[in-house]
Amino acid sequence: MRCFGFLPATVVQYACFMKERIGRWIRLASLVVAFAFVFGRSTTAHAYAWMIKHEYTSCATCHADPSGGELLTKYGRATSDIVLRMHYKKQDGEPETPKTGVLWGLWDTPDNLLISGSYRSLTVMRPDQADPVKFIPVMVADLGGQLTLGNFMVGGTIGLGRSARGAVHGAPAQVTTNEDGYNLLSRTHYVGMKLGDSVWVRGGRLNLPFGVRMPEHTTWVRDATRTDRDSDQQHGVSLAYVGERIRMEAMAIAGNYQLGPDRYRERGYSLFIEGVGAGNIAAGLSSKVTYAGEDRITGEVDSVRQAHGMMMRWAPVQSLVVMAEFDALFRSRADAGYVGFTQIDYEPVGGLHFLLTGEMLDEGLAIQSPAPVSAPGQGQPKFGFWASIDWFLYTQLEVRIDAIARQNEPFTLLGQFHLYL
Amino acid sequence: MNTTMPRPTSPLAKLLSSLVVSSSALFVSNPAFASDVFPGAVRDTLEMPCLPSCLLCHTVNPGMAGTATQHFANVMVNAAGLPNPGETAWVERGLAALGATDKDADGMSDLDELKAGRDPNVKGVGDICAPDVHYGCGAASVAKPASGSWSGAAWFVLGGLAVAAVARARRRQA
Repeated sequence: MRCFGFLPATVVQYACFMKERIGRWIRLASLVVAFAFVFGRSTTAHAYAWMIKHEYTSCATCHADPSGGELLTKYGRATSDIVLRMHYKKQDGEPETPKTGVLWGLWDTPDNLLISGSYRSLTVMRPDQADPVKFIPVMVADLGGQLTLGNFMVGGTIGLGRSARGAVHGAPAQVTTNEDGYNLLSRTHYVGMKLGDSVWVRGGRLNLPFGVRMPEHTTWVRDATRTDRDSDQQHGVSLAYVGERIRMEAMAIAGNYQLGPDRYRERGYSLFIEGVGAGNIAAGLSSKVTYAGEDRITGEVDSVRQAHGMMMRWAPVQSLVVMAEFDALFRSRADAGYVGFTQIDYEPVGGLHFLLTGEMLDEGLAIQSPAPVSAPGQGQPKFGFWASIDWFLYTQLEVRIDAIARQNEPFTLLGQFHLYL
Repeated sequence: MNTTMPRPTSPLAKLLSSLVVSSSALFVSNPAFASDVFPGAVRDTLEMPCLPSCLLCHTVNPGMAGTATQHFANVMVNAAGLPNPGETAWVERGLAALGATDKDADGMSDLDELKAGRDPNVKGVGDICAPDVHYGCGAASVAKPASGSWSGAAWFVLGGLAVAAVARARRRQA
């Protein structure tokens, strides 16, 4: 059996071991689908805004969602196989044909049908805790797809997840109503129509168009603006435009109809517009305003929440990407606040990323009587720092480690294993 | 484990293999790891009429690290020590050790106040109930989520099958 002779001797043994495991991994990927119908916990998804380094400033060429994230087009699958993952063998002569089918190329779906799935496990380590290691076997177990019939499309995701009673994340994507158990989730589901080559109109439960669409859904910038792709999607109608130098999406938010009663639904708008300049730089603006009769988290009556900000992505050289976002936060009965992040992504060899992320947050102190005591993040600036290694070790396989140090929070190590079908 | 396979020996290999093996050992641990399980544990232990909000222990809602400084949080820490994230047994230990503590000195013990849905941090009734939000399709029309209800899932799956059937029919016609 041919067995990875091109690798350094120290890893040959492991490479052989891995090669013999590949078949099992493929079977495991299939089993994930079955497992997803029995168990699960879903909290995140993926999109890689740093693809700007490969001069992919637009998201719609690789993703079914015109603003990026999750479900890949066939072109996106090929791109993923060529530029996203690590290649262990020097390419001589004709390059290998990239895989564009589901299940590592085993199933080539018809051109009008996109299918994918995502499985992600998480290990959390907090060294200063008495019980320092927590393993979450299924953080994501989702299936997604999109069927295109002419100019029309229908798509969405379905998965399984578990949220603790009273948890504010995860639960908003529930389809079923178990209060403290496993539930069927659907983060997105939509029907849509494409007008020409550049315009999409979609209605359904959609990712909110706001800020940098990043995989780190627990960053303060996504949490404080309530725009993560874990479960912050909302029902509504969106109009997206993707042109040569401009991309934008605006969404009228009708509320999340996977929660109730109605007074807890946030209604308003969310939008972004991003322009692409010469030299692999993109910059944009975001805005979001919502109103709820009662805030589902804080219980505040007649709650208005606003976030307005700017973002940028810049790849000065192909191995380096800088991304940043800064948003001003306004909410009723509170001082103004702000949230932001800056991330530097260095990819010394294809498929291996070293990331440094700094973040800051001050949500603004609530105006109430008696006046609350300010704390970092609430009336005072709070700072956080991430050091991460992200390794796309094979086609549609990713391993990621994050070390997170946040003010007034325990030091945390995260280890993730991610495969997508 | 298949003993015929070579065992990885390098640290990197061990890390990867442990991730793969641990990922295949699915569903053996409790996925909850944050203190968001505490409100449910308090309600269940005391059979409260509502889910307490984060403000029972934190000064801000949602609770953030470093803000669990309400009187009740101090009482619980004095009774049971510092908690580990997700450690519901800590809630049970702390509540069991509270006894007749009446931190706000309003004549009703903290435990009795919670059992009555009152806020033990302030004199009088207060407002400690979290928003009564329900999650899942149809949650707007039900007073309490029906445990074990999978009707939403059934409709979703049926919808998907219908779309697949239409697509298949169109392909055959073509």
